Amino acid sequence: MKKTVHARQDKIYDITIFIILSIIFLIVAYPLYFIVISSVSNPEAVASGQVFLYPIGLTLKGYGEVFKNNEVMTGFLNSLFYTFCGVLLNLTVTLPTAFALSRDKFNGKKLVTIFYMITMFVSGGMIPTYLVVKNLHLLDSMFALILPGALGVYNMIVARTFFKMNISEELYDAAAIDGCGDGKFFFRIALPLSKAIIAIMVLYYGVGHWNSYFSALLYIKSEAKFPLQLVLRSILVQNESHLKQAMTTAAQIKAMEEKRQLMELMKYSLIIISSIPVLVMYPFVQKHFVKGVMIGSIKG
Amino acid sequence: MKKKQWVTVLLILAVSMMTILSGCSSNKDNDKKKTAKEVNTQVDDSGKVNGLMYKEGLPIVDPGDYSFSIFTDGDKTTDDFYLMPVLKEQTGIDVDVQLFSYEVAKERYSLALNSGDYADCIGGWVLSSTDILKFGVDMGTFIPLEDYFEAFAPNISAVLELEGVREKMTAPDGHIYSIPYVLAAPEVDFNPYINTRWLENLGLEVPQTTEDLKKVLTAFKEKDANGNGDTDDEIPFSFSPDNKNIGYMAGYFGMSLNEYGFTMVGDELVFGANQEPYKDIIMYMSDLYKNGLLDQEMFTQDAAQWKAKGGQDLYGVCMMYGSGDIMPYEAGETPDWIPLPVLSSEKCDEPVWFRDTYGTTVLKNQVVVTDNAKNPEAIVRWWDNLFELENSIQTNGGPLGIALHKKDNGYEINQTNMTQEEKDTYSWINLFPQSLPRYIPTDFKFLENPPSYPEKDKVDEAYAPYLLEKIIPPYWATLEESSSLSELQTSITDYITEKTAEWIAGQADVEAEWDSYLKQLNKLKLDDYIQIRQNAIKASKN
Repeated sequence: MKKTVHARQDKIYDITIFIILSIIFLIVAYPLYFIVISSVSNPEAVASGQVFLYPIGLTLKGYGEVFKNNEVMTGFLNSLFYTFCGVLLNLTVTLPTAFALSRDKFNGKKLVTIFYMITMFVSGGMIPTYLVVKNLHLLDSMFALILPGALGVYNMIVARTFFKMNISEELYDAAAIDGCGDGKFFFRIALPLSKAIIAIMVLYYGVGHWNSYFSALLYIKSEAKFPLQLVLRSILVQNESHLKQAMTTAAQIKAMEEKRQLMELMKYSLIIISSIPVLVMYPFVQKHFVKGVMIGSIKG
Repeated sequence: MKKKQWVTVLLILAVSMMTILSGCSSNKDNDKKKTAKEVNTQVDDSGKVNGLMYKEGLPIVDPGDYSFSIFTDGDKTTDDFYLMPVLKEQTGIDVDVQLFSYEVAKERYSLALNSGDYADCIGGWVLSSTDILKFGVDMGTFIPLEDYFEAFAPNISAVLELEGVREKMTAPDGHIYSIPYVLAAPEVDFNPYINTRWLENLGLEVPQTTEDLKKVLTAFKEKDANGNGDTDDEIPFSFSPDNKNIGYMAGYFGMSLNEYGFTMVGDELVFGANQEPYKDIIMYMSDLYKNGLLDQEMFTQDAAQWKAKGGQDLYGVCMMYGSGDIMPYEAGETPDWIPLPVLSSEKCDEPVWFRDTYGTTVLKNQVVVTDNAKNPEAIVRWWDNLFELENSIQTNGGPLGIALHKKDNGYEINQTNMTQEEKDTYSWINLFPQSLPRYIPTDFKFLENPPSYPEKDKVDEAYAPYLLEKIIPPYWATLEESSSLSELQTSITDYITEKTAEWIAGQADVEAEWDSYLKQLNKLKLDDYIQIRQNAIKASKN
């Protein structure tokens, strides 16, 4: 008798949890689902609020327009380039720094750390940074989006903590006895044991590069170098209200109207296409978020 | 220990080096003084001004001798604007157009001005009159142009002599900092239109009073006005979402207000959003809303949703600029919409409507020349050449000989012989940066060109008897005042908009809340706000 009571309470408990979690899941998942079905629906139907549970007026025109659009394609390739090169540089700079600062025998480590920390809290601000980039003659060059911010102090500290916790001094001593120097230890032992932190860094930096548009907005002039986010912004954020004053012929109204309809058509497909790389990257990185990478690295 | 000290010393050295180095950079950008330069009009031995520019005729300079940059906002879908190479051919001047979409341009614009890294000309919708006060009058980043106009620019000077243009363009310090942009504009800004096809379907008359309108809207709601077999899909009365212009309709009760709640009574600027007529229109509208006669999404929808519903023929009456906004039509077609007459009400036999312009509008901040420009006189002459009729009409009508054809009695737009590809290449946005000035005389009409908003032209005529006599005069607030003015304007206008929406949508009762609304307006310093506006107008007159 008692048992069944228990079981019933368990059941109620389980069901309640299940319902609450389902509601949260729906709240998070529905907007994503809505964007997916909107991207294959007739834009008029989306705008007038008919699209709710399933696509209406199935069409792939939106995707067609996106693939036909040169700006979007160039932007996409540019963003891939920025992300790839950017992350490569970020890792090359961040990991050794973090590793060095995590070692006890590195003298002056405190001072150097403080030096980095200061930049975290006191940043120059938009205009001084712009002037630095300008005087380095980086304006309108692809390096303007890759070089500044090569080292994220916050990320560096995360990595440093990881090295501190996971790569013990004893491990180093053991390697040193076998005749291993600092460099060799870092590349041959520390890095292979730090797949998790590398994965996290790739994700953090990668998403950052992929989604950044503001620095491109400030530093890049030529459209051929625009990253995807900036292209999206100029397509999706429209400013029609001002133009009304200057329009006097039917042809102009039509031109503007066609542009607007095209924008409506491309809106959701653009959002999807621009988030694909991040979605693709995540599963590859996610499998490294597993504890226990250190098992068996120290000989007992 | 020793090692540690060594690192410290190095660090200190590094930091001090940085300080020294940064101190060495030049400071010459910081002491720009504002001096109205004497304009040199002397032609030297080479037959040119300043050894560069011919004083009259074309080309302006020898090809390859001069180029300048224009920063502006806009869009284009081709690599280059059609008109730019044409103008280069005429003038010998090469123009580098730095074009960004409006949102991007806004960010880059303030950054450029604050970092000293700006183009020779800055133009477009990003410029505001406050900028002219700040960067022109105050800092001298934008240079005064009136002497250049007088010496080299007959076309621009002629535009300045048109009625009211010079006074509107002149900044408080007596200088003119920008190139004037004068264009024809309707006298009525926004107004409601009524769908004649719906009226015919139900055999109804065009309403003349507020009572009539309610009856018509009720019929639209209850019957199948659009004839699609569904009696429930009609939305009797909708509004363009960007600005619902309910203040204009307060004219049905005796006082028509603009979006900031101001109007003209005779020659006086009056604030009316705290007066009886405004309350009357809100009561009338909330009654309509309660009966389901207004678009129930009017306060929540965006432009795309509003247009989509309009495109499905769901609106019977709609407040908008013109019906092309919701139902685009081909040139030559006549839309089903006519302006809704200015309605009289039981409280008011002589309704009024707000006058936006006298038929032309003068945009006073579309292009400035900066102190980075090497030879402003050549830039001014380039603009003056653009103001030639045949150049300016191509910015709107398309390429001469392709889309635009010269006839004995004028210019005709005719795209019948163009391929689709040509139509795309020469579409309006690709002709010229459309945010920049040009001059098309306000009485100029393209031949046989059906106007874009045919019913818009009829509005001025239909509303003429009711229009206010005066427009709100142009003004320049001083720099100190303009910041407090914009603060007050934002808080007061936002409050009015918010309360108006609550009252109309029935979330609150206007009768019960009117007194506390007036008190709150006073707390927001309404009196100061009105005072500043009136003073600015008086100051601009003298």
